[in-house]
Amino acid sequence: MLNDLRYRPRALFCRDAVERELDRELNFHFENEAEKHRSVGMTHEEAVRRARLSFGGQEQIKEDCREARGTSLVETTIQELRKYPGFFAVAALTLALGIGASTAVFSLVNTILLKPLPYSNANQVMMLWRGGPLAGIGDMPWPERQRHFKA
Amino acid sequence: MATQRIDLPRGTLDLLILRTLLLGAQHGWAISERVQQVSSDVLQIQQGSLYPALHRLERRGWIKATWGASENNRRAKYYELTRSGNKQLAVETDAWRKLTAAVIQVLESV
Repeated sequence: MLNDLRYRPRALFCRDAVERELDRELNFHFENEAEKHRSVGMTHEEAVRRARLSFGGQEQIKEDCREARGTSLVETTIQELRKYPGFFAVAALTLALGIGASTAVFSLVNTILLKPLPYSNANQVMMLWRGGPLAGIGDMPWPERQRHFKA
Repeated sequence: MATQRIDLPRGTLDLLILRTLLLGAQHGWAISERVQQVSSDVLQIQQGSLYPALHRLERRGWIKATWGASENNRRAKYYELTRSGNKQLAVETDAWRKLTAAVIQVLESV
């Protein structure tokens, strides 16, 4: 567990170094394999061919090693990000706009509809208006202007 | 060349690698050669499974890798057993003995 914590950051952040080491390690194996075939009397070409045959797909081996290192998902994401920055920019922008818009709408709704008015007995506050040709509030001689309303 | 090869059961590869490293630090190629020789060519470790296994064991902390010069004076990655690797080897050897003994018992029962 502790070892894992030391191991993974290096695999992740020194990725190029780790990849180079892996290349060198696999190459070393490959050359030794070819050397072995040569030492029993094969021609150089035949030895290399045999070694390559027994080696199988190098890319697949590397991918499996990456997986064994336990960082393949993060690594792939970073790689993709480098390859398609536009796509990631659009995705980030979409998220930003979406979150921004919903926050804005929510704060509006929150102030207008959800929060109680900042008065005591806010549920007794009334709104008055006149109908007819003089509609609107304006400066108005309310018939019983002096009196207090209570609902 | 015509020796019959047997596919390794799951988990055996780790055990073979750890056991081979008990003899001292080795690089990947030497590990696979040694297993092949000692098993009279019956067990052949493919690179495709050897290197992922080595990296996995290193991540677990059972082996650790250092770069050194090989017999033919090239730089090679040497793996050696760590202390927890030693313990793991004991645990896995024991488990393997129990498993094979039990399987044999079943196979030879009447």
